[in-house]
Amino acid sequence: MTINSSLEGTKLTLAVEGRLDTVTAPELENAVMDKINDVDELFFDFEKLQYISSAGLRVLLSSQKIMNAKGKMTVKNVSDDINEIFSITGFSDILTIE
Amino acid sequence: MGKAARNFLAALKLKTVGSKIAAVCFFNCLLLAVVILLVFSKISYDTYEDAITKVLLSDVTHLQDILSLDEEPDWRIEDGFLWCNDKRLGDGTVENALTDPFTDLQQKTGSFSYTFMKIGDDNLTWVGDKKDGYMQGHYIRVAGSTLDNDGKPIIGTCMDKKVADILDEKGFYVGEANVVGSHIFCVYQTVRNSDGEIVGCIVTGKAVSEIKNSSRITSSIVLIIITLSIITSLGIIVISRRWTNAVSDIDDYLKQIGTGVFPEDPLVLKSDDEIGDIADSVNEMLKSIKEKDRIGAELKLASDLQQGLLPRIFPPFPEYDSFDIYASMTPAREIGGDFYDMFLVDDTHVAFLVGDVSGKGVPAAIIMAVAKVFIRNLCKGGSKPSEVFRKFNSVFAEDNTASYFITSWLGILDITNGKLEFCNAGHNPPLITSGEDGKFEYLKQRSGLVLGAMPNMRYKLGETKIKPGDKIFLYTDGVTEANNSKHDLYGEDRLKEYLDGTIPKNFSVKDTLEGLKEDIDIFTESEEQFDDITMLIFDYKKYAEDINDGFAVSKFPAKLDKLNDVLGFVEDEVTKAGCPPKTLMQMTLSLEEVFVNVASYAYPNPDELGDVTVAVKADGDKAIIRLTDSGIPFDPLKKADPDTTLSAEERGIGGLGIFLTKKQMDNVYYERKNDKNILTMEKSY
Repeated sequence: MTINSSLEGTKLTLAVEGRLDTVTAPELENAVMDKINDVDELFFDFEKLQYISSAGLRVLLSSQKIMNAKGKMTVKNVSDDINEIFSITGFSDILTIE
Repeated sequence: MGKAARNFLAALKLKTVGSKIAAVCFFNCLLLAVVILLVFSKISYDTYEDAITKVLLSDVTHLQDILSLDEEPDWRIEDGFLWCNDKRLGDGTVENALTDPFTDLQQKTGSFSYTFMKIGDDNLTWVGDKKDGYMQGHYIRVAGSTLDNDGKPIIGTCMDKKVADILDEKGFYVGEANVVGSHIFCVYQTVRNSDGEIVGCIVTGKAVSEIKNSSRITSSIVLIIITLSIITSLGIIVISRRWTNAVSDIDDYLKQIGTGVFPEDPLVLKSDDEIGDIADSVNEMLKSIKEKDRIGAELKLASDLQQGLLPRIFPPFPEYDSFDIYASMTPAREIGGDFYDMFLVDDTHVAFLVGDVSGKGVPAAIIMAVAKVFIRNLCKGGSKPSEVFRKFNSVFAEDNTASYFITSWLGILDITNGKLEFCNAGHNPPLITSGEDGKFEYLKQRSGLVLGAMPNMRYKLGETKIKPGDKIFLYTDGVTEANNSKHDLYGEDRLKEYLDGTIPKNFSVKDTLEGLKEDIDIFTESEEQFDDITMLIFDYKKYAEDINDGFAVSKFPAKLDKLNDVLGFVEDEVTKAGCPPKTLMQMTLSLEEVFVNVASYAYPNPDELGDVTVAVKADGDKAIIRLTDSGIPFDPLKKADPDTTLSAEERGIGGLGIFLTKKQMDNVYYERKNDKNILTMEKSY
């Protein structure tokens, strides 16, 4: 998994590529927690994300909880496969998916 | 004398040298004392007799002076009485007997005294019986001091005739006499009248017991000698005890050495004599025994190492009925480096090998031990025989400064289909009955270099197919090079002949090897065995059923970082079966969730290295994935599903994974069997 992070003012975009699973999820969590204090708009770009497991969902959930309190979080370019997982787990209702 | 002393010592049953010496000393001193007592008492008695005689003689003179009132004695017989000057001594009757002068003398000198009067030769009578009695002589006792037992003077008795005759002849007699029961030493002195005729006799005497009493001094001397001898003996005991203590210290020390538990400290004896020398010799001896023992112990260790590492329990895999294996290793006197091994690589593959380390002794045993473990681990890691040898050789040859090498033959058989993969590193080719005629043939294959000779060698993998009923016989050159007294070798032909002979007899693997060993023993007669004799026989009885039931099975450590290995293994199998990518992702996701679950919770003890076995079977339209672990009982499916309608703030973090798995798989079920958690997932596509 690779993460491309771009910060514009208080707007952070994290483009995640590859597999977001138990092994790689902590990496994304670190990338989020690193900057989240200075951010009021958080974007996850999942265009090149192939796979997400519950460990990845947990990162999204905890990020969402933080951003709910201080700004806005959006998940972009979600593939059908991953969208299906969001929908099974009810994450479609929690996340803002564009 | 010596014999008597020996018998004497034997009778005492003495156990220590000191007591023996002391006993000999005491015995000798005692003997000396007895001799001294005998000789000295004789001498003293004789000397004393002379002295007494003088005393008694002076008593005689003294008595005569009393009787004659110091005048010239005038002895005579008148009117039947014996007279001395004016004193009438007596006539033989008690009434007329004179006693006072005699009593006076006795009071003054302690000597008895009597006077006899000579009478005629008539009236002689025999006193007592002939045996104990005596003939009365012609001197009659007329006066004297001695009373008889009734208190009367012994008057009127006659002298012993023998004494009387001597007196008649010599006029003088000295000797012992029996006077009314008392033994008395006497001096007899005749007295004569003026005409020179014997008219009587004066007797003075002292009791013999009195004389002997005065030789008590002799007894005292003897007592002193005996006392001294006892002291000497005790002294010897004390001195010799020091010596014998040293000897018994040496004895104890040697006994301890004899038990095999060697004393830590050297033997110390405070002595600068020969005993000290013995201590030095014993210490030297112990040193060399210890050295020999150390070498012996080392060899024993090596031998134990060698023997202990070989599988000894047959059949080694009783749960498998598709094949049978038996092996034996008969070590030579010196420790060799032969080994064999047999083990299951996985549920359907069995490996068997024999090997021979060049050289003997401890190094060979150690190398053999290392090789055996190394080869086993490489096989279990999934390497084919040729790879096993290549990898082992590269490691072994790299650091093999001592230039030991190993020859070995390794085979791995797929028991489900008889496919045998093998590799030979400079070893005797095995015999195999895969031919049509059912006889043993050498399984020829171009052999690789012996292991350990040179790094970076390649080994060729041999492959053949065997069928149920086939047998494979592995051996080391100890078998074919066993020789008899004429230096003939047992040889390959004899070996093949023997093995062929066992086939019609339907010998079991055990009977075959034991019979072969017997055949070798008969051939070599009593010649000493110079090399280990190692044999292994594999009997393929039938194709094993595929106990995995078509599943591909692999075992992984239950660690999160093994996730990608687990996913890769399953993805490979499922992709091969033609699973569409979308289903593949669903399966991968589910597998991750259940694997993470096991890795996180099944083995709560961080020191426990738990495994999880992943089995997967996939065909054109369905895949089954099964995870088995030996962790604590845990059914993840029991956990309540998360409420997916809650808001982000209300949502907990757990439970999502298993929920996803349930949603994405067609069927997920949990079993607890044989202390194992088994979770199975099924998905059709």
